[in-house]
Amino acid sequence: MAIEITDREFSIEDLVAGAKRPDAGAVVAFLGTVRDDGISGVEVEAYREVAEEELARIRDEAMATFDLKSVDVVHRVGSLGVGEAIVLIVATAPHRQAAFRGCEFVLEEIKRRAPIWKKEIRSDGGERWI
Amino acid sequence: MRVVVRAFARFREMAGEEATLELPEGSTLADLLEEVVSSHPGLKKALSGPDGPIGGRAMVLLNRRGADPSDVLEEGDEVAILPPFSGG
Repeated sequence: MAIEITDREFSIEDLVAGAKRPDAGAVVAFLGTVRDDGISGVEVEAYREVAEEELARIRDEAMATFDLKSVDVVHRVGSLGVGEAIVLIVATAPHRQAAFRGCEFVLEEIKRRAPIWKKEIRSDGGERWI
Repeated sequence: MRVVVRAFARFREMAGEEATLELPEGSTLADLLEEVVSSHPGLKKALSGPDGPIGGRAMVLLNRRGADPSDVLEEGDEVAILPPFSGG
């Protein structure tokens, strides 16, 4: 299982393929991307050491709370354009309910607890931390 | 003693990414935050809550863990000031 904060593009297909396992009939992947709100992109910043620890804790909580077989999280940092991937969460479970719920739990906890920030870069060059 | 202060996101843009502050022995986290605010008044509102220097919208970590204003600092400590998160 992978927990990663990276400034590089990642392959969704590779992560999903790597997560598949014989005892998991459900693989749920959430991909968060840069939405076009009249912006040209975002800058993503993390307190990397703490964020990686927190992501691992969230994964462990999800594993303990839901009937999951694995959780992978990759979160980008750096400059991202509209449509680019920000975060990928892959949760596997024997059955779909646990995979959906576990994946949603991980996403919501990341938003609440991980020291990561986004700054919108508007098309006119303006900037705004969100 | 020397303590490293790190700031992130909007606070980094206001106060710089990292600074090393020289403080008297026995200084507390509250003392350090007062120093930070006196150098960067723009941070005052975010850092100050009703009960003192921590409790505003900012989160303050000491050596990557939650902290109390009364915590006594030691040489080499790392204090981080974090605005509300917006990842995911």
